[in-house]
Amino acid sequence: MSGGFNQGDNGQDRVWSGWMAAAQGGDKAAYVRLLADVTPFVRVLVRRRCADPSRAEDVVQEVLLTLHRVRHTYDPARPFTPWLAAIAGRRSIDALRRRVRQAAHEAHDPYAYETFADVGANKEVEASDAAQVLAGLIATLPPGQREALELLKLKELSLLEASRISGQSVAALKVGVHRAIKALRLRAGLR
Amino acid sequence: MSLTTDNLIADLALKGEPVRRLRPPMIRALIWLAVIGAVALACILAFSNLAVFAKRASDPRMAVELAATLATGLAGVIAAFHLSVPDRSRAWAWLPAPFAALWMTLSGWGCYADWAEQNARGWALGQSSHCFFFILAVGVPLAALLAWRLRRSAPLQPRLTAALGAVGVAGLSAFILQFFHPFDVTLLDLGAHLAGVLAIIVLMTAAGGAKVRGG
Repeated sequence: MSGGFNQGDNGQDRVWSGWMAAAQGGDKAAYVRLLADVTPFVRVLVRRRCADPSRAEDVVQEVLLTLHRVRHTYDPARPFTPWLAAIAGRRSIDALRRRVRQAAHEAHDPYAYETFADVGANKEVEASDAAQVLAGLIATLPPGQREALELLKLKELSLLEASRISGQSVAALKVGVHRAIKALRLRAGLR
Repeated sequence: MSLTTDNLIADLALKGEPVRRLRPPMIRALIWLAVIGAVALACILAFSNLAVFAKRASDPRMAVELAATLATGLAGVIAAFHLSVPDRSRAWAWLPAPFAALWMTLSGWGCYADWAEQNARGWALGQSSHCFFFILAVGVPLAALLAWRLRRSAPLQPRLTAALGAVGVAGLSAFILQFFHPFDVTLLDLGAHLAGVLAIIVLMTAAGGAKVRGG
């Protein structure tokens, strides 16, 4: 690995460009060198827009996946760094928009489930009941939705991890978990 | 159990089969335009009345309007191909704007003059439905062909790319329509032109956007 990086570093860019051109030709050794070498650079770009390290790492992985999917669009006659930076910028913005959308649909209301004045009583008495009811409701979900919910919400895996384990696509997982939550809300009598 | 970035890199490297590199976007755009232009030219030569067209085009305002319509079509398609690859400037999105503004202004002005001159006929139905369906009949297949070509680039901004492609296709369809439109444009005709153009833009941006992104 070549270590340091700098958007204006022509030598670095030429090295990456050469590795990418070789990777387009099927040179897997050059490809793995390139991916490993650009990852710290991508991480810096992503963290400018995403401060949470675990979320940022998900976005870094999305950038690498996109790089892989669109690698045929790179023209070795042009600099590599702006091409990569454009992908990283776009994926970071997409992630930011996703977070804003999610935040708009989720409300934090810590008192919503309180029925007793004593907070401890609520937690102790109702927690196990609620867990049992929820487990029963989750068991009624279709298998795909149940798996998506368990992997993404209960085990808190990233989309990529969940996709790898379940064999479902990222899009299918997103749809599955969305539908699962909607179904649970309906069945639990919530809006 | 967690998928680390290092694991992902190893996975991707294993899948790093050779890929066919895309040609530069300008070359791809010109090839697409050349193919469509050849088919359109053949249809125009076979089915249109060129003498009537030449007479209409001899009016300087009409000639400029025709040139602006064609330029909007060409610029929209060229911009869409450029924006379909990651590292091209977003400024390409503005390329069709001046031509489209000129086209709309001249077209609207021509209609207004016509309406002012012959008040009642300005609101006549003319051949509006013919124009609307012609633009859709030409534009929808062109939009599908363009979306198919753009899809290969897997654009990062599919909606913007599709919208520009739609502007291009709408301009080209409206230009081709002029060869089969041997009458003055009334206000309702202009409305039908605009409706056809907008229908293509909306269709391609919505459905075409998803198609382009599908990659």
